[in-house]
Amino acid sequence: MSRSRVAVIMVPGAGDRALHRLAQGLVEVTPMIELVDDSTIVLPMRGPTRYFGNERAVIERITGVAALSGIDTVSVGVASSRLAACIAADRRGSHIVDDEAHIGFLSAQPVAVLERFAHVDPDVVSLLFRLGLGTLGAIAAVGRDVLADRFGPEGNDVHVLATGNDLHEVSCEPVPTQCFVESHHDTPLDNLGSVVVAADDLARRVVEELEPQGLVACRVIATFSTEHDETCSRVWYHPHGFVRSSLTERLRRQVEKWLDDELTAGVSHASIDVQATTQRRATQLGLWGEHGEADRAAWNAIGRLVSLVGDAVCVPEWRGGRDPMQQFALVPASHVELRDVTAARRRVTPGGIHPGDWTGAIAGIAPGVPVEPRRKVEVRDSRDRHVVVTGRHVFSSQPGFVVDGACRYRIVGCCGPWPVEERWWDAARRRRVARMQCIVEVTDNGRTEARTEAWLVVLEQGSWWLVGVYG
Amino acid sequence: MSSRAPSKSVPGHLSGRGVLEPDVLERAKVTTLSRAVLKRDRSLPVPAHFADALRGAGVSQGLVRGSVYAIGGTAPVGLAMLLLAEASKSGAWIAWCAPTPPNPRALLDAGWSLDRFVCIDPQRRWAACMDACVGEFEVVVTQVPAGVPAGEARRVSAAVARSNGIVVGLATRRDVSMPADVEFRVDASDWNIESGHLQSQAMRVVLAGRRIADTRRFDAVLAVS
Repeated sequence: MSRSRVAVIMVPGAGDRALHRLAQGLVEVTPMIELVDDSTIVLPMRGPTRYFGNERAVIERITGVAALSGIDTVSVGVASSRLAACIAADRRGSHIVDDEAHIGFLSAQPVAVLERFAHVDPDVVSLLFRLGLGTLGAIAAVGRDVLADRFGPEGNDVHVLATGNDLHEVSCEPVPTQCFVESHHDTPLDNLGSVVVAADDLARRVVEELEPQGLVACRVIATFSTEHDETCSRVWYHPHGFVRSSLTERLRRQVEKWLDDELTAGVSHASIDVQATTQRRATQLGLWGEHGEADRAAWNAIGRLVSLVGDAVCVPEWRGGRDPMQQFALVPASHVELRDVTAARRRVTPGGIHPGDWTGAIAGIAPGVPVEPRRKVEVRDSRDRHVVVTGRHVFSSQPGFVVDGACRYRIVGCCGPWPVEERWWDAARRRRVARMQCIVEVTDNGRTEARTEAWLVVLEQGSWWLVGVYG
Repeated sequence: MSSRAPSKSVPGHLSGRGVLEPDVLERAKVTTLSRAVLKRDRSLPVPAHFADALRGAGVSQGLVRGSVYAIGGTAPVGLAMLLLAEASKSGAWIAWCAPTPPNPRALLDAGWSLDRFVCIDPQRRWAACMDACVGEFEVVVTQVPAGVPAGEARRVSAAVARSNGIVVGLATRRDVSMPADVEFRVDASDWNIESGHLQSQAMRVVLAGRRIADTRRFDAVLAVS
């Protein structure tokens, strides 16, 4: 079977401005370029290959455009599916996987690439591995029905990806629209804030139009035009589909740098053309079949906040582990489905997605204030000697002071040390630390009486670090 | 001669029945009706020792919507975790709009429901973020970043009074503070060590503010719930 060829361009750490210039430049190579995230662009190869002669010539053209955009490090992978092209691009430099070698190339890949490049649920990937399906070849050898029975729709998707196909084809020309929304502005919008508000309204209309059909947009063409016909059009893609906040956030990125260009007029027209959809995940409704007013108000506010500060709007997600400062991660709100109440509860419940019980975790209360980044301190005894933790997991001498830069704090009580040795079998990721809770006397400037604070400090690779403050 | 203000008369079509007749809205040219808020919905619950202290000070024993609360002193984050635990447990959405987010593990230990909790790093757009948060989330915890003019903080504080939300401002001595109705200040903390671990933090809290006639003191304990 002849599959459509795809190029994936990775520009890690290029920055929004450079990515915008690269996207503008690539439009001259081919229309319908897809932006996946802040460092990945996908190109359909059929048109450019015919125009420039062969795939190698297209890659040269792409690297030339990247150089003109001020991007020094660019890697390009060309293959017959998004996944294979992503894997090829991740190897740095330029790699072409021929159509004949495509299946063989994918078959040898470890199952972890599904999580890394195709947004497959980490739990599914972990379970596949534990079931003995360690490579994409092993998954492809299993029947699609078997995987779908075991994993539901995700199993079906995994099989599609492992057999070298795409969940949604990379098309070089627009297909008939599944949903189209637009807005005309008699008074042109000339600042970022008002354009983002208009974009958020379009995103809301798309979500509301598709929601009753149980669908969610996963590939959209977003177009903004000024009164003088200056146009910025981008294709955005996410395999699981866009919720309102994530779509708004992408549109904000699209217009942010474009508006910085020397436009001669304000934005007078904006549109979203939905090219592909996917099934929306089930949403758990409230007891009386509806979400509450407070929920709706909060979700709308989160959408507005995302359009203001982007990924700085975060929600907690339980990850587990023995480090009380790392057990929860703060993930961007635009990357999670907040309206799925059941999923939201699972996300924050220890043991819901990731294991909840960790032997060796510190009991009692956890520090309320993280110290980011962690600060190097010294722990000394009453004779001013460095305190370390011996191989028998005891202090070399009784801790007496914590020295933080020029400040010296007397320790009035301490608990520990509690040693942890994690992943001792893995040379790259193994970690050996000892934790200590200490109560120190702190004297504020201008005050005579001291107050006490409780700190969590860890000893790692011979140095003590302040990682959290209690209360 | 004493003059009496004319009493407000209840329209005949409303008296005794409590139901709007169909043509009333049309005749009165009413276009919108604000959401009715019952008195019991006007406040969010707080832990018992806070409720006792507030009641003793002569104010509502919960967190009253449309109010600004300030938390200062030596352990503002710990006291905020404790103060808002009941509200979070009862299903309130809480936004934490400050450059430094709290440790979610500590919030969970204090009894918070983290599925309705959002952290926002306002970067340089604190006022815009607060405008988006106030009234939309039931509680907004914030710390006014350095560089924000005091007038901006006062404007946000005034907006809270017009909204149905609650703002809790964390303040250290270096920060610009928001004008607050009620202030909690942690004067001192004691630490309880059991079984070789820190098990709880006892805080001596001072209750003051423009709505509090007499300053009151009480103890609060932060422990794993």
